Amino acid sequence: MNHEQQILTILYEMAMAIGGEVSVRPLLTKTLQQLLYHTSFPAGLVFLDLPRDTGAPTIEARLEAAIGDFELAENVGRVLTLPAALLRGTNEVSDNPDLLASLSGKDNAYKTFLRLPIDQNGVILLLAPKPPRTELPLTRIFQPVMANLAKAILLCRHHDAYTTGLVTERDVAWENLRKVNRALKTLSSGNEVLVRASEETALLKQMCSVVVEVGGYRAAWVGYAQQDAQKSVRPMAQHGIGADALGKLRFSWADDEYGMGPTGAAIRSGEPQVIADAYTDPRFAPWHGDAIEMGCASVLALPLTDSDGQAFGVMTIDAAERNAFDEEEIRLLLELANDLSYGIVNLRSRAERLRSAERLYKGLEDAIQAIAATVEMRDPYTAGHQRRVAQLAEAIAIKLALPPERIHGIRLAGTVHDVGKIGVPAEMLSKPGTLNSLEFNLIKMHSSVGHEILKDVEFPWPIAQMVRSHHERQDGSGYPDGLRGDQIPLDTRIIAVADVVEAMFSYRPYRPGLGMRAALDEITGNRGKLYDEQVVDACCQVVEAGFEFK
Amino acid sequence: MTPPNTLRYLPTIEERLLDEQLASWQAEKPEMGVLVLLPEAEREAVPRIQQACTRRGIPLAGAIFPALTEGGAFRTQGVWLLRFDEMPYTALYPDLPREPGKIQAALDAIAADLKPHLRDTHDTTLFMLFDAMVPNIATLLDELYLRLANRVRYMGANAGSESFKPIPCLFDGSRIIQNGVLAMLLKPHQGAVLEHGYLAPAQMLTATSTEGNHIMQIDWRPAFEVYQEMARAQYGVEITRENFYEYGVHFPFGIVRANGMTLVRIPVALEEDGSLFCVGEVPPNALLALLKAPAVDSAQTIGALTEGLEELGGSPAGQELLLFYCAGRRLHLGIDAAQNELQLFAQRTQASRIAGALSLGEIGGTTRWDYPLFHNATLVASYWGRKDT
Repeated sequence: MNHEQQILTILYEMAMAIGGEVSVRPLLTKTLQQLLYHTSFPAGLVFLDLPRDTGAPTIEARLEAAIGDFELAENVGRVLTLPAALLRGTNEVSDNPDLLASLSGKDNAYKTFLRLPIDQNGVILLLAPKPPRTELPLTRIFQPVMANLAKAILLCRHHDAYTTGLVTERDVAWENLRKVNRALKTLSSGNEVLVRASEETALLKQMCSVVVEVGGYRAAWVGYAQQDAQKSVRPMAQHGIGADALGKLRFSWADDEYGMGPTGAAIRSGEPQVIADAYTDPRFAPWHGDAIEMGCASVLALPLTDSDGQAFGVMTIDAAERNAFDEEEIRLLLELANDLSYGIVNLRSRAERLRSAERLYKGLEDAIQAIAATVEMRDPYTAGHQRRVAQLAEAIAIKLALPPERIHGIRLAGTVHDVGKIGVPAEMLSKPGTLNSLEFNLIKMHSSVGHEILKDVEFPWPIAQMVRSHHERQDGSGYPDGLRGDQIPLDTRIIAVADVVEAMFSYRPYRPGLGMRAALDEITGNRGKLYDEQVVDACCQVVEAGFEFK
Repeated sequence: MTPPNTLRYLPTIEERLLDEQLASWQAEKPEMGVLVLLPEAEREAVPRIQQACTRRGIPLAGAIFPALTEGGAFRTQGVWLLRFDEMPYTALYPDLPREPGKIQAALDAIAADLKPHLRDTHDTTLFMLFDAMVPNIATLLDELYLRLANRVRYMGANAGSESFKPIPCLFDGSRIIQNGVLAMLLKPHQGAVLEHGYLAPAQMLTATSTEGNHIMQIDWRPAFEVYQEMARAQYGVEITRENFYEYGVHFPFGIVRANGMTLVRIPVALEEDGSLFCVGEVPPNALLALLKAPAVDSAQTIGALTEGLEELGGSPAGQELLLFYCAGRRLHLGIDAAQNELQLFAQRTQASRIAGALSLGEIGGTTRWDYPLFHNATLVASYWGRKDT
């Protein structure tokens, strides 16, 4: 085989090896391996990006790859100071131990080098203790290989930059996704807490628990801005940090060092406040030691605002890692804080409404009781009748599983159902014996009169209508309007049955009490005819269960 | 000067003789260890040798080769015992990986094992005995050189059966393994020299499809078809499926290097699809020459070996040497010519004793500090047991 064929062989093989790599590091390793394999030099080095030639005797060059020399291989990636005469120059085989002294280590192993420049900006050095034997012109053989290598390095660098960019981009995306995901989970669980919340303190505790247990944050606490002289912030609930530990820390929303932290700043500004490094940020100076001890490396303070946009408190979230909160995560957690604010405000207004309603009911009840007392004072024989009807009607309504609010209305209507009797002459009400038709017609007017009395009072329930219709009957035989069936509201049908049962059971001026048995016989005997079937059944069950008038 | 006494060939493996030899050595060197070279026909003796060493508390390493070399001849019986005054670091690694992804991790582990033992001196040789059935030895050497570089010199040979049937062929005091490597750190030690003398002819063809030591295609055609044509055209030899095993060893492939050296790859197996298996890897797209083994330039080969030894550590005269002789080379030259080379080597070196084995591939460089390569058809020689080298 002649030299030309041999050279072609080597060029072909090296070109294939170089062309097969897509990343700089393997490219340089493979190229060096091929060169060592073909030349019998035992060691090879690659330097790239040599600085501009300033004529200085030495060059600071970064060692990109090294094969065959254990010590030099340990220095890959480091900048070495080497003679310019070694790194710069044309293709050359040289026996120059002095130039190689800085690479030879303590035993001065290398005496010979083969220098192969790579496109003016880099160089490959092959090193040997003595010139390897060859008949081939090593300085010329590899020139075309080096030209190709320069281009391959460029392409591989582009590829490395591209893949590094992809990896970085992917890692960043993963991290962002992780953060957003934990914020979303926190937000979602926080909303569940809000939906179920019925009491403010419990809501605050549960929300702090969600932030730590679901969100995976280090700690969370809620504080309310106090309108005291110190403008202090009072911790209301916490999770991930003990109440005692939190209580020992001082927070304020005043314009002082304790108010410069994220908690105070969030209350003052109404905006979220982030401390990316709680160990070093000067705004967090009063709490640096506590942050380090508790492992809270970053802090996010979210204002809690009322319906007017005024901050009344703050939710503070601590994370174990620095720079834990990015923009999207803050946005989601702020949404959580806004939901919490809404929940707090809503609970407070709901509580206020309930308190108002209770006051109103109390007033109405007082008024109704007063009216009832007036009627009963005029009619001593029926004294207690309305109260007892109310008692039985309430028991029947409970038996029928009506809502508490509705039962309350039925009881009140029962209490005043005979208020219209105030328009009936007192002697007629307590007249012994039977009434003539005129008298009876006067008595029958009491339901309409009651309606007239109550119709302009704004009750939450149809009290006036129940009073008007409590003598209506299922078959239309009642008065004053001769309503029938479903035209008579259920609440009224309950009062009607209770009224009959109580009236028959109790003593009247014109007859003795007939007893419960007779009363039940009356309603069961007319079950479905005069009285509503399910009300009659419920009444019987109530009595059988031991009901007694009080 | 008393000649060293660290090599002993026992023509038969009798327990008594074995124990006597070990006892005699142990009395002289209580910290001794022993490397055992066994011919394939004596492989049943491994447990006995392990027991004998265990009884005396002597660390043992060993390998099974197709044959041994002793007294200028090849021996299929007996055993070579090579004494270490003090047992060097020795490790057995079975089942070396073939998948690229696993090779890195395996070599990292091996290098991590070796590095702690390389702190004290630079005169260290990594002596490796591979199972010849490991198909990617050249790749493993490349990777090892990336990790250990010039911290060690590289020397070794392949063990196993000449029939290339897989057999457990590497052992220590308690195990015998296959598909692996026995690694020893010899120190102080100056490495080995390696020589073959095959000449490259003019015509070159590309191995267009290879995988490790398997050549599927040459010049985009089934490898065996091209191999036949090359042999016919260059040497007028008609190679058929029937006579392939007879001729393959005489017409190995050569992978040419820029320093004029040729890496020999002997084809040893022919598949139904016309692909060929070689001893040693063939890189993808390597340009192959069909070599005709030398007519017998034994004098040149032996001369180069002797000069190499002198360069390593002065005159070999009166010294004990270790020699690995390639089984493929013996097949090509024939037993008589091969034994002539052994005798010539003994004459030229004037060594007091030469322990050796018939190997199935060799590891080393053709010059001192050469890039370590995996070869076929070579002789590898080194000093044994010298304290001053």
